[in-house]
Order: sequence, then structure tokens, then C-alpha cells
Amino acid sequence: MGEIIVNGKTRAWPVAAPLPRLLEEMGLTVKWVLVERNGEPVERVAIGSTTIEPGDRLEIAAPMAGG
Amino acid sequence: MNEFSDPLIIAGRRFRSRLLVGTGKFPSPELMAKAAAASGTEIITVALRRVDAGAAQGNILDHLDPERYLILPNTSGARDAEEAVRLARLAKAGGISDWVKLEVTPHPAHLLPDTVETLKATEILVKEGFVVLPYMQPDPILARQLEEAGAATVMPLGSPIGTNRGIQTRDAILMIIAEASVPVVVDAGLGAPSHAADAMEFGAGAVLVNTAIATAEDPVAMARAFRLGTEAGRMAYLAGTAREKSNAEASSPLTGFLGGQ
Repeated sequence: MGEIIVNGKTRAWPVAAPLPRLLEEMGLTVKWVLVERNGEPVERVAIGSTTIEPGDRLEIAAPMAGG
Repeated sequence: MNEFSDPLIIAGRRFRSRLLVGTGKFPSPELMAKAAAASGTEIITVALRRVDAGAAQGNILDHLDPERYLILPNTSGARDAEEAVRLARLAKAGGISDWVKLEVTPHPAHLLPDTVETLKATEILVKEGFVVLPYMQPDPILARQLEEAGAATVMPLGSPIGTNRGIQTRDAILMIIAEASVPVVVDAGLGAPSHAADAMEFGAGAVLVNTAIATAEDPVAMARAFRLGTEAGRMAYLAGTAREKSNAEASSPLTGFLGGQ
């Protein structure tokens, strides 16, 4: 497959690699990001040790201003 | 009486302030942070949204001291229970909070809460150990059901979100207050400090304000005004507000008029 889906958009992801690499590629700091991988929320402490495989579906979110 | 002797207690946690504040619509995060400080609030709501590649660095939470404020993620944008539960779980896993302001508002035109889905999401989240603060229709029967499901507060709307129309649902909220054993937080529609004072005078446990502060010409001054309105209303409630009467009753003596016999 060689691809993942991030926030509904397809992205090249040739081989399994760590989640922090994806965040880095996206230019996001790890501090406040919220990650859901294949429908399951990723615990903050597990972000560093999570591996993203080709075919994964991800939601990357963060707190925003809101009521 | 002082603020320490009359805490707001939600899920066993004590708060001095009875004003909850939202972070939306401020001209800048800096102004939001100043307004939050001026409001005296201890509970601040945030939304959760996707961030895409190249999104601006920095986050709303960088401006809010977690020692000073309880950060309350909301589930705004959720159209049903499933979406709301998903957001709450994401916030908890991400270390934001296991408290959640539950909002299930399927229709963008009025943003009124879906009663059936709100109750369903409350039941699921309470079982998973969340502290659930549901935004709700001002319905005393629903309030009872949410409470039985384990909601930590009930949050009936005064008028639709962002309308600044004040409390259009007074009678129903009074019925909720009469029955509730969890704090009743009037959320949405409070457009002026007098609206907040009104809610507190008639016995609400707290109020939540966002738009009226954020979109004021001077949000920091308005935050302080809401703080004073909320405190004044609470103090009046505790003091025992005087009864309404249909006929005039003089407050000055009715004898000893000049020029009398």
C-alpha cells in the first residue's frame, strides 16, 4: 500500500515508522497533539513508542479555542 | 460569608469561582488569557479539532496555567453520542482531562443539544470514569435522568449558544434547580453580567460564559464585570432575595408627614 490516511487525506508512508516522525513531518509539536490510530486513542505516554504502519488511519487533533 | 466558605463542588472538587469561561472567539490568545484571569474563573473550556500539516505552532493551552485552571475539553462539533464519546476519549488519552463538557449539537443552525444522544453519551462516559458535565435542553425530566446516569452537573441553556439573549428558559431552569442534587450550571446565551446575576440569584450553582466576554469591546473589563455579576447574584441568593409583591409597600414611615393635623 505504502500510504496512510491522516485527517481524511492520503499521505505517502512507505514502511512502518515511529509516530513522532509523522508529527515531525507535519511540523507539529508533540506537546499538545491528540492522536487516534485506527479508531483507538493513543495514550500520551505511548506516542513515542507507537509505530505507524502503511494502511493506518489517523486522526491528529489538538485543543483549540472554544466554548 | 466569604468565597472559601461557599465553594462550588463538582464531583468532589471545590471551586471558589462560580463562573466558568469559554475560550472561543477572543481577538487573541493573549487577550483570552487576560480575560480568564480577570474573570476569576477556575474552569476553562476548550474545543478539540483536527490539526493539519503546517498548522500554526503554539497552542491555546500554552496560555493557560494548569495549576490555576481546570481545563475542560468540550465535545463541540459532535453530532451524536458516538462522536462525543470519541472526542472525550481522545482528550483523556492525550492527558488533557477526564472531565468533559458534553455537547451533542447535530444542527448548526440552532446548536441545540440532542437529548437522546446526550443521555446516551453520558451513560457511556460515566461508566468509563469520566466526570461528565452535559449541555442540555432545559428539561427537568432530562435533568433527573442525566443525574441518575451519573452526570456531575447539569447545564441547561439560557438561550441558544452565542445569542446573548439571556435566560429565556427561566421557568424550566427553576424546576431543574428545585429538584437537582448536582450543581445546575446555566450555559449558553448569557449576554450581560445582569443575566449571570439573575441566574445566580434564582439559585443556579454556576454560569458558563464565552461569547459575551470574548466579543465585548473590552473583553478583560467584561470578564471582570461577569465576575462581579456572578458574585453579586450568588451573594443575593444566600442573603435571601426579597419577595415580589403586586402592590406597593412603603419603605418610609406612613406617619409624621409635614403639614398634618
